[in-house]
Amino acid sequence: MDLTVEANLHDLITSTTHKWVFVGGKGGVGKTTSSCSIAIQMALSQPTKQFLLISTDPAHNLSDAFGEKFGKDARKVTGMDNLSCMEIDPSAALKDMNDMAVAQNGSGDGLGDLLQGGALADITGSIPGIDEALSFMEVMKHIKKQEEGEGEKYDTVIFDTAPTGHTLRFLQLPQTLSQLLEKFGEIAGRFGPMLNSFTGGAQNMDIMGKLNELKSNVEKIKQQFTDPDLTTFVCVCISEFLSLYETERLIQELVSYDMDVNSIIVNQLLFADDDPEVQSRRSIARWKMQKKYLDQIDELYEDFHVVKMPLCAGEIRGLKNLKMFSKFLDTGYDPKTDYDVIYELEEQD
Amino acid sequence: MSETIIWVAIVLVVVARALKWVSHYRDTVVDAIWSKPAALKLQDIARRRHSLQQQQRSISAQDEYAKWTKLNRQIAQLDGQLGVAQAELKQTRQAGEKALSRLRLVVLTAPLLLLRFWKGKVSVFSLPQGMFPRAVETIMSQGWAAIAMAPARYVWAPGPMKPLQLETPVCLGILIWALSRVLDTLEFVAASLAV
Repeated sequence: MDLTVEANLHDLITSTTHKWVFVGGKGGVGKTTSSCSIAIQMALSQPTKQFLLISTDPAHNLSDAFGEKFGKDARKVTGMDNLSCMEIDPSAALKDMNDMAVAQNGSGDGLGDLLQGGALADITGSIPGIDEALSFMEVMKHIKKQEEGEGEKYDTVIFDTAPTGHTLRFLQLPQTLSQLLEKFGEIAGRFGPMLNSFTGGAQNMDIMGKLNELKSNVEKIKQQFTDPDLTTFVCVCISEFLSLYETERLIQELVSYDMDVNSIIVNQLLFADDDPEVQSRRSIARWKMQKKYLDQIDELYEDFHVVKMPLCAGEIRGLKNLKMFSKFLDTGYDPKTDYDVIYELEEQD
Repeated sequence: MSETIIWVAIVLVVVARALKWVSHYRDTVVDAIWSKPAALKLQDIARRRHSLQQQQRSISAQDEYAKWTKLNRQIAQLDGQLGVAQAELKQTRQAGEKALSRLRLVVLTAPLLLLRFWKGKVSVFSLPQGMFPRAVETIMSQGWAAIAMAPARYVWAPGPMKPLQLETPVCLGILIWALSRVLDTLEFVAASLAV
C-alpha cells in the first residue's frame, strides 16, 4: 500500500463528496488567495457542479481578489458559470434584524421609536463574537435553503475565514450552541407554557418549537462539520516561526473539535535555488530561513498534503491571474520549470 | 476480666487520639494501602511531563521548531493523561477514605461506645468516701447518666441518697471521659508550646 501523501490538493479539488471546505490561518499569509484558488480549481475540475465561496472575515477581500464587487447575496464570478461569491456583512445583517424588529413592534410606542434609530443593531453589533455568530447563521440559512430547494443549489461551499482566533470561535459555535440549547431546552421544558404565555398569545410564538428547530439544525451542522467526507480544513501559512506556531495551534484545536485537517498551503516561498532572477543577498538569506522552516514542516506534518506555493512578482488579483496561480494547487509547483509564471502574473496587470 | 476491659478502653482512647494526631498523613496511608497504583501512575506521568518540559526549555523553538513542537504535543498528550490519572486517583482516594473511616468506626468508635454503654459502670478504682461532694461522687461512681437519672431516682426513692459503702468507686465511663480530657489538655499544651 502506498502511504506517500501528494504535495498538492488534487484529491480535494477533484473530491465529489466535500460540502464544506474551510480555509484559514494567521493574518496576512494568503488565505483569500488560497481560498479563491481552491474554489476556482474545484469549479474548473467539476464544471457540472455549483460552488460558493463565502468570506466570513469581517475585513473582506474577495471583491479585491477577483476585481469585482460582491455583496451579502451570492453572485456569480464573471467568467465562471459555476462559481459564486458572497461576503457576509455583519452590519447589514444586523440592520436587517433591526428593521424586522421595527416592523414587528410598529412605531408610536417607546420600543418602536428606539429601534427606529438602529438601537438593536448598535447593541448587538458590540457583542463579542457577533461576526462569527452571523456567519454561522448564514451557514444555517444556506442548509435550510438547500433542504427547501430555494434559490441556487450549491454542491460545495468554500469558506474564506477570518484569522485563526475568529475561525476557532466560529467552529466552536455548533458545540457551544448545542450545549446552550440543551440547557435551555431543560429550562424551557419546565417553564415552556409559562414562557409562551409571557411572549404572547398575541404573537403566537412557539418558543419550544423554534428551539427544537434550531437545535436540530445545529446538530445537523455539527454532524456535517465532523464528517471527514463532507468537511475539511485547509491551513494556510508562510514559512516563518509565528505562522507555523499558529498553524500548529490551529491544527491541534481542529483535531480537538474532531474536524478533518490534512492539508497545509505554505505561501510566499522564494525558491531562490532554482530561480536565476532571485539572487540578491537578502533573497538568498530569506530563502535559507524559509527552507529551515520547510524542513520542520515536512518533519512535523509528514502525513499532510503540504503544498509549497511561490511568492509571485506581482499581486495575484483578477480571475486570469488566480487561474494561473491556482493550477499549482492541483499539480504542485516545480521551481525548475514553472518559475516563469510568477513573472507572467506581473505582466498581465 | 474487668482489668482487661479497662486496658482495652484505655488503648482504644489513646489509639483514636493518636490517629487524630496523624490525620494529615491520612492521604499517604490511603495511597499506600488503596490507591498505590493510581498514585504511582500519576507520579510517573508528572515525572515524565517535568522531564519533557525541561527538555523543551533547553531547546530553542525557532532553531529546532519540529523537535520543540513534538515535545509540545507530547506534553499536551501527557496533560490529558494527567487529568484522567488525577480523576482516577481522586476516585480511589475517596473509596479508600470511605473504607478507612468505616474501619475506624468498626475498630475504634463503635467498641468505645459499646464499652461506655455496657461496661460504663465497671469500677476501675476506689476513692475514700467524702473526698468530693456527694453529687460529684455520684457521677464518679455512676457516670454522667447519673445526673440525667437523678429526677427519676428522686421519684422512686425520695429523700437524700444514703451512702452505700465506705469507698466511692470511679467507673469506666468517667475514666474514659477523664482520659480524653487529659489528652485534650496535653494536646493543647503541646500545640501552644509549638507555636
